[in-house]
Amino acid sequence: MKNRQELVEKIETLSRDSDPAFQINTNEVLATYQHLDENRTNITIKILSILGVIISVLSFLGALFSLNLLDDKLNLIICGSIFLIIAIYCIKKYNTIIIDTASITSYIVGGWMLIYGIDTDHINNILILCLVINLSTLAIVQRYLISLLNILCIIYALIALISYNTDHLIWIAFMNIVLMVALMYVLMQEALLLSKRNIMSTIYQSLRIALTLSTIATTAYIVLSHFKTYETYDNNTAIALYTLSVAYSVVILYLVRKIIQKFDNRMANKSILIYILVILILGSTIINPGISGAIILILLCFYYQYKFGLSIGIIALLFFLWHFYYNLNFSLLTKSIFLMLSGFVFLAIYYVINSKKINNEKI
Amino acid sequence: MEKIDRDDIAITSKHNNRSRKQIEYLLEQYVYAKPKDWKKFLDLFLLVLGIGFVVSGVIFFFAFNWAELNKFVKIGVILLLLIICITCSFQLKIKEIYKKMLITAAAMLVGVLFAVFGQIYQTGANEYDFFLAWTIFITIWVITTHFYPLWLIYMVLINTTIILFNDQVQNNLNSIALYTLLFFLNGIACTALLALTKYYKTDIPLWFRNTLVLTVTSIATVGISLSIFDSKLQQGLLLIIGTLAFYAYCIKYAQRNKSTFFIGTIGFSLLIIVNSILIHIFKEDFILFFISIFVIITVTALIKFLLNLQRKWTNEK
Repeated sequence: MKNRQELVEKIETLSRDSDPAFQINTNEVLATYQHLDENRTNITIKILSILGVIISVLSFLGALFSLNLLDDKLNLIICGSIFLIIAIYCIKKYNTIIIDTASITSYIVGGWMLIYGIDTDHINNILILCLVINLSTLAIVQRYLISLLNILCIIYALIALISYNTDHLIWIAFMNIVLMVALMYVLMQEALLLSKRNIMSTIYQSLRIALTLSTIATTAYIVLSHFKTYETYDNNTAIALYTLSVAYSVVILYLVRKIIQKFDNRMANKSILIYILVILILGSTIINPGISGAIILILLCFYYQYKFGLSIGIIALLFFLWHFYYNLNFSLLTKSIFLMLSGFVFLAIYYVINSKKINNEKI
Repeated sequence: MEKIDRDDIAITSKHNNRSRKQIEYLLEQYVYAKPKDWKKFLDLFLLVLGIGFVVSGVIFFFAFNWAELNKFVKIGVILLLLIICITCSFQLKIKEIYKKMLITAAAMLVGVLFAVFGQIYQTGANEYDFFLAWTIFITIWVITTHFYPLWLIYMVLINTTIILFNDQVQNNLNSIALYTLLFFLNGIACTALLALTKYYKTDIPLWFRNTLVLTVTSIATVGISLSIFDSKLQQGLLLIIGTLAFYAYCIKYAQRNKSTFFIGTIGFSLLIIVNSILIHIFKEDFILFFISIFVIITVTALIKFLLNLQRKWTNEK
């Protein structure tokens, strides 16, 4: 366990130059730290719990199927509701990793049974039911894992609703823009959300992860479905792709401005050059909004030092770059020359930035 | 004092009336990226992207023209790369780790060279010949360099050679015997490594140690489950005894070195074996119900045990 003295010191450092009216409940803070410390887990325990949950869910469902218990719908509804209620009750009452994992299993199984048991032919009804279950759970309990699950389910139920009821990909592109704006808001207004001390600040971490994942996954969905169908003749996905690209470009320019401002006056004389380069890069990748989306994620998450988002952004960037070059309609020879040229462009930018730095140091 | 991070600010902000401005100030000061970080980040980002693009461009360039290239050029290009890697690692005055990385790259190129050679001259050799030659010809490098990623590649090569040899040349071994052979090969390597590090008091990288243990336990688990399902316990006897000895040694090692990973892996492996026995004995559908409850209870108990161990060990430090 961490040293109590160290913790107190840390709290004091953090509250050093505060307002005169500042009050802190040191005991509560210490208790939170102690609870965290007691439940500190490593990767082994996390993976073990997830594997255990997967095996037990699978064997449970296997048993249900093979014993033909899934035939009676009323059974399913009753069992499902019981599972859901037990899960929510346990998560609300206890706060340890083991109970959390076990409850989430029973939550997933229960929710699935309930939806399967109500047995409606309308996909819309199923999705709305899913929305209702997740929204009400989110209102009742807020805990890291279960809230993450709830928020992801809510976002994807909404996207599925849109995709089921319209043929046009542009609505999903709009939804994606909304998600990106929400992610930016959550990251930029961290202080505001934390200072509210309400439901938003409790689910803050889950919200951040869910938005990061769903933004990039939805972009990937749009990009992939465009390239899968773009040779068919009733293809209407291009407009969605370009809308997304333009929206992302605007966001990137805004972020670049924000970053330049951080450097005070040192970058001001070069800012026009930087904007032109950024617009050139964005213009050349307009057919693949995934690249600009991943760049946004990288810049945004580095700005606010959000490590998980940063790694997701880097992986996404590699994937979309591969996809971009793979789908270019050129021969392999032209592609290889393009690759080398773009590499030289990046190295040239690096050289320019660093030669300026060396000159400055000489002066 | 420890560094202050985002969580500290979030936790301490929960139980007080710290204003929004104050939180913003703290986050700016302790968490968000500063101009200095941005400079480092941009340098790295541009450099990696630039070099990555140029290298992949060169690779694609050769890939495109590969069919038209003369066989001398084909082998020549790879040999040239091989020689460059080796000379650089001997001649350049760079850090030890970069030299080792160059030798690892050279070891990979040996494989590429054999593959190209086989493709040009249509040697008609089995796949196992290829892997065997690759394994033999990098052995000296592996031993002298003593670089763990290279050791891992070497282990993978040996295992692949054995599996392919059994597949393509000698079909005498059934799957249980093959698992036994692989188990003993990797298990002895793993035990020797653990014992040697204790003897010489050196450190092995955790990722290497854990990968090796995970491989050995997976082979043992699959092998034993297989012999249970095929009702060939007599054939699997050697494997079972070996596994028991290995697990006992690992648990002892884990206690000494405070590794929860070892205990977690072994516990999970035993759990799977017990489940296989249950399924094999009862052969009824209802057993799945029992298993799902059994798994939840055992995993919960295992996690609880690991948490307790971890707490005990951190307190001892």
